[in-house]
Amino acid sequence: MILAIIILSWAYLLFILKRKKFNAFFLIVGSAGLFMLLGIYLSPLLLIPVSQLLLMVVDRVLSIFTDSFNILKEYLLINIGATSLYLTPECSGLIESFIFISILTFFPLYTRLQKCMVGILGIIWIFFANVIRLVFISIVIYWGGQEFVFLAHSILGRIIFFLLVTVLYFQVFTRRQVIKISLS
Amino acid sequence: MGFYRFFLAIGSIPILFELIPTIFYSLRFLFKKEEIEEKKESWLPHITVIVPIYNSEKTLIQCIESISNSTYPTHLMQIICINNGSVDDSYSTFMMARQQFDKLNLQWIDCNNGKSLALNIALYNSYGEYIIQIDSDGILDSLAIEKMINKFIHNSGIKAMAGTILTQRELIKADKNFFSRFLKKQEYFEYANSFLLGRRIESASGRIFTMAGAFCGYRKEAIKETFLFDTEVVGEDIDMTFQLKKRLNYNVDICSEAVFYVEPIDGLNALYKQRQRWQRGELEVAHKYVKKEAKLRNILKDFMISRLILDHTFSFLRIMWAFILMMLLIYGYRLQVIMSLIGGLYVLNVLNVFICYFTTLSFMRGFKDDHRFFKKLFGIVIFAPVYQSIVFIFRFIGILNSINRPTQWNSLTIKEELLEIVSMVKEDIKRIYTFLFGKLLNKKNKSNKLT
Repeated sequence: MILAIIILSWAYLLFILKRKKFNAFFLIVGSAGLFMLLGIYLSPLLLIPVSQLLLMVVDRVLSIFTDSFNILKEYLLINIGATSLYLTPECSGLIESFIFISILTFFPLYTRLQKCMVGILGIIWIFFANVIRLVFISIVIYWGGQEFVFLAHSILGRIIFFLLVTVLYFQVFTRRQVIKISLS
Repeated sequence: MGFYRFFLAIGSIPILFELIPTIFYSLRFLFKKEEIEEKKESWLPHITVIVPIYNSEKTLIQCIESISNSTYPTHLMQIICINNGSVDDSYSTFMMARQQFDKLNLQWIDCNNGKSLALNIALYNSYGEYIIQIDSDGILDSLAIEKMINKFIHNSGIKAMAGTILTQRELIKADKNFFSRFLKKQEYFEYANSFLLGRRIESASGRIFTMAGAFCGYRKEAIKETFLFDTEVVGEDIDMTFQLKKRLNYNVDICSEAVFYVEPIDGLNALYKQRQRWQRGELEVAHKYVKKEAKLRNILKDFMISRLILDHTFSFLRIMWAFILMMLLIYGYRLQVIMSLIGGLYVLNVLNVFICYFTTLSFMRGFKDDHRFFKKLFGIVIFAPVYQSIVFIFRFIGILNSINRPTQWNSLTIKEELLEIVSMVKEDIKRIYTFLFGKLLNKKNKSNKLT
């Protein structure tokens, strides 16, 4: 009941902001609410299948280089010699995908159809950015050993992922606005 | 533990993009002393000082007085006060100034069609070899014009220059309200940082983004080759910088020793409007000059792309960071954990701010009073990330509001926007009430009439 009231109030607030053309607050309030809903309701459902799909693709890519990796999809584990990488929720790319979808939904410079197309492409981009990150981390640990775990996972891997997400955000939000903005 | 690193990594990467260049350039500037041209010229050119006026009755006298106190010979100055639709008594103030400073060549022109057009009319009426543009709510340092013209004379390649803009110390000190004074001190720190360090970094890498219209100078010959000030954009100063740099390929530089003091900001509402306007100005100019080239592959070729990434793309990524913070709450992380994560990022920001503080302080040695004042700001610099966060939110709102809202809409303050929302809720309640109970009331009224 309380949740229903919160969701209704959120929807009503959005309705007001839309009518008043307060773009900024419309996007902030709208995307924050949608992200919460996706996080609460969709995250538990999608987390395991998305993580397993991710590991399947990572497995395929890594098998091109070497057979030394043992990926246990059921346990969400990548075994690289003596090192095991466990795929936690934040490694799945699901949070980033939810955030991207939430912002895109309320970003005013796309039509509904365009939002669907850009949304699907964006999710695919984030998915493969994550694949690249995991492959990179695995290869660095494979070549460098256990002492490279922190550098590869927490620093370099994150920077690679961040740069790829920056490319996506630049294309989807920045470039679009620069092209579409109307002069005073 | 994974989330800790994840959260810190996502949040700290944009800060690193600021921190690394700051460290690099701070070290470079500290070890490489600047050569300042001190040689005075025996022959000096005629110059025109343009002062756009808009409701400036309270500040105009002190502005003209500061021009009169300038070390640059006043008989070589033409001062044009171009009125842009003032509704106060600016004209009477101007007439008083004429009487008071009778040795100045003061002219008044009316133009009620926007600031850009007013500036263009002033340019048409100017005869100076150099044009100095200043805002009417500020005070010019007595050496400012002399320093700027001197740099122009000794550097023939420089076609336009940005001066240093600081806020007036005395007005900050005189503010009795603690919060307002705090805001003004943070603003002073921001201006000092931006003009004395930020602009230097931009100049060193050939990436000067704008000559702030509040105080800048041009060679008349260069400005004649431009399309003059664009009346279609909010940031006419950014547009002029791009015309000179990008269209004409001219050298635009800084003159850090020339200082102009503007009035400090009058509270959060004014800051909200100002920053939204600035953000809009940047995006409009990006639209005008890099619309076709706004591609990541041009990042090294066009500095506007990296500027857009820092100001626009990273804004969205920072919002992403805030959402992740919400996710932590959903995942049931303790408040203590969340606060420690925010604290970690705050420390990183403070480190960046302190490096900026000490580098800027070293550049302030030339201005004794400002140096003394800036030194005393040491204690409040620790809170600079809070001010920066507020400014970031305002700029982000500016990014989104500039999408399809007309310019005049951006002139609403936070309070006015909230009031509009409240009034709409009231209207809706009224409508729902009439819809639900209106028929019932009508029926009652009818039955009352019949009886």
